[in-house]
Amino acid sequence: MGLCYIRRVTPDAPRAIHSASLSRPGLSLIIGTILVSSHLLCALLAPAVTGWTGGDPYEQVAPRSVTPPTPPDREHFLGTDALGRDQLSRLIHGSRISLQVGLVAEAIALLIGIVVGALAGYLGGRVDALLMRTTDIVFSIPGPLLALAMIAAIPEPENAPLLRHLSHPSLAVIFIVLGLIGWAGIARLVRGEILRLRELEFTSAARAIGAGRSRVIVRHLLPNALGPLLVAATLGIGGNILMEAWLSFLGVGVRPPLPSWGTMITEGQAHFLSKPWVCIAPGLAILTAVLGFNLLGDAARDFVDPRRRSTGVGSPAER
Amino acid sequence: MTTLPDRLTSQGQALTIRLLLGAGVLALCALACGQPAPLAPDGEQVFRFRLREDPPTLDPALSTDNLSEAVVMNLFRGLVFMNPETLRVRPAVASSWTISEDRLRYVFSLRDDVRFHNGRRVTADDVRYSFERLLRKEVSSPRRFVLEPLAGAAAFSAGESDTIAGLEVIDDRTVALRLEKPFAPFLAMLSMAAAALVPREVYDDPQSRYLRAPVGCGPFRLTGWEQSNFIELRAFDDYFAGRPHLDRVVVRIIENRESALQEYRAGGLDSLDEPPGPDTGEVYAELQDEVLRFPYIATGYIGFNTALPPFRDNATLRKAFNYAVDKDYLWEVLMPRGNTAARGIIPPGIPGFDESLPGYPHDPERARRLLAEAGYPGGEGLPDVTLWVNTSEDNRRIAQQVQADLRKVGVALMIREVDWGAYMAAVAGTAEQPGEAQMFRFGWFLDYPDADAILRMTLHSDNIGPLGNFFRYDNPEFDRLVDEALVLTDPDARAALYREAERIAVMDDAVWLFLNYYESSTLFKPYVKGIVPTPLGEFRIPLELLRIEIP
Repeated sequence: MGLCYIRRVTPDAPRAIHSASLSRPGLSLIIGTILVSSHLLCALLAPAVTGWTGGDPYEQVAPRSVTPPTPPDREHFLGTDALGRDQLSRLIHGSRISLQVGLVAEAIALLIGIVVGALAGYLGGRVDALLMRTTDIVFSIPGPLLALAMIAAIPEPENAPLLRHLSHPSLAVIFIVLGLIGWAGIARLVRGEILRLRELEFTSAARAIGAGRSRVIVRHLLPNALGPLLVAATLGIGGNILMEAWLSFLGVGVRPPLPSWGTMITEGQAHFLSKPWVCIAPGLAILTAVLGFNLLGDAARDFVDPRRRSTGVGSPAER
Repeated sequence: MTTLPDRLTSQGQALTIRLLLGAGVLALCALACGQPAPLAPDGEQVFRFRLREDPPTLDPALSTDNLSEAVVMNLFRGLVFMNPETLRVRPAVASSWTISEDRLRYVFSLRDDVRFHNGRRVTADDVRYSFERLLRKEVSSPRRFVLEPLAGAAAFSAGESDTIAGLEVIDDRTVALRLEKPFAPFLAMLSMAAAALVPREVYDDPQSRYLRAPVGCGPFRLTGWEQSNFIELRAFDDYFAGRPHLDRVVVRIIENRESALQEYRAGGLDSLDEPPGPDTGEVYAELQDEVLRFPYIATGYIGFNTALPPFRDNATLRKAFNYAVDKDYLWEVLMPRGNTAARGIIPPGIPGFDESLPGYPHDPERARRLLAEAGYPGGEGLPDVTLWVNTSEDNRRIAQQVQADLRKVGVALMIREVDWGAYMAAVAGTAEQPGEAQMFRFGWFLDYPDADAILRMTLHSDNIGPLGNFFRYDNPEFDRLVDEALVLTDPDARAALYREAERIAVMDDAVWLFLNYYESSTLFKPYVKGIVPTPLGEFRIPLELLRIEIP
């Protein structure tokens, strides 16, 4: 889960891992792009799409005489859930929640991670030690446990200051919690990149012509660290989606009646054996979304990291 | 106070176990069925039923839960006995009694043919011993309240007096009880397990292991208890009301619901307290005819905290909420097992239950109109309302259905799921301070089968706070009726007063969102005869009346 944010790649290992995962590097890019863009489309067009499939995700559409969940039929392609609501509409609206969580939480994580990492890497010394030990502390606590603890500390998002004015306070809590967990990996990554880049000639050149600290960091170092960051962020989005589903599955994530995929699985689990569609559909949605972002992240890594590029442009010996 | 979380959550847990452990079910089954209970010789009348775990205690003074009572009520008898069907008090060890004009003095005449399982005759002195034992501080019985109406009970409990002032042994076969003040449910309370008679020579002797080998004067005696496996009872030949038909009763302890169901289908049980739900398809169809459903004396509701906005001083809003929720759909379609839609407070089977109470049938139009009347047209301007539930799958579903129904009339309801401890704190508050929950789902099980046990306990202004009136309902007229009913002894007059009080709380004040009357549903093999369904629950079906008739 949280561990898939950054996979450590040692120079000797990549070929083996690579050939074992997908035979052709282009393939993960293609599949990843298809999966992610279809989810993006679903999320963006959710109101239109559900208008077409006939569903308000909150309306109880199952006949009032039959105990839901009702099986798939012509009107409801994926049947209805345990409260008789159209499963497909909920799934599509659920993609909005998942992607929102993925993107917003990752944005928060990036923001914190980049600031912390850049300061630590460029300033070094005590600042570095302090910031990195803080990072270590965050790293030392398992992500899921930290998330549960933080959620427990905000017992009633509906009444929390600031959050209460948002349309979905419980969703905002998830943004914040996942953002506050995800930054540590980013910070380490950025610091590593900065440490490497600041010793290179172009940095010395920038300094030599009188560029200040902040200008060097923002204009010269960070843009050069963009590649690895992009990879980490893409993988992070997948991780966030999974974590949100997990938290909602436990009942501490997004509050009902919001159609989170994790909540949908919880609500369906009582019917898992007799009416499997109620769990399988959201399960597959989570699977494809997370898989899509992970494949895309892998492809981006291949593209960014010359050592892992199989086209032969550049070689490990080059550096 | 008795509540129903256990009943509700245990169902959820059983489901989770079934789902998560999958194959583990088989292992559990193997464990549960590993040591077979004793086999029956031909022609022996044996009845086998299931408990999901061992009874916490078999001491009548300590038992408070239905698992303990399932066994205790068959081993012990008190002065009086409650007819399980009519819930009227009937003679037991006492053959008759008289009540004085001022309704304070009860004189009981004891039968002379009652024997304990150890063979000794029951005398009036045993009544004194048993009652003193219940009230004694060292015993710390959670059911001391059963005898608290007795004059001098508090002083005896506190150790200030060596005897109970209100208890007088007149002769070997006559006992007189004197109350502090008139209290009509007193006789009904004397029928509870806590007031059962126990022999001094056993219960004063630490060597007698009475917790494992209880001795009473009931229709069955305990002959074996193998922890987590089975409890065996045998008919008591000298039972004063005649030896039971059954020779033997085997209580099998099977924790897993699925294993128990398989055992029932395989013929290892004659009765099972948890029939399969409609979601089990074929099994449900197969066993449908063997399910016996009957009312259970408990009422489920969503309480409104009338000390907090927006429900404070706004009965119209509370009525709007009531009309908005479709209880029939909830209990007949969405969760079709073990409940019927409630119209009021007093559950069916309890004297005072009002057949003609209109309640609040589902009527969204009317709900919208009332909502507007209450000052929130279309839900406009209504402050945030949160419905609290304690964590369980059923509760979550009920809450979401209520949320969906209210949404249709324009009310946005939030749901808050918390664990039991936090839930109770938020619901009950303190005597002075209201809890923070505005709305909360709750089930109330009647401690004694009398409307007093729900009307006074949950809605009288004396009980505001953790005692049971979580709603902080305070209506002097209601209080007056309930107080008046408490001192009357004529059952019909009392029932009439309770009906009147209930109408005030339901139709005028809509103090709850009335959800459901609970039902027991139990599987019985077709060859089990003589079943007397009782509102006291499936475990209180009198075993001494059962017969096995295998064709």
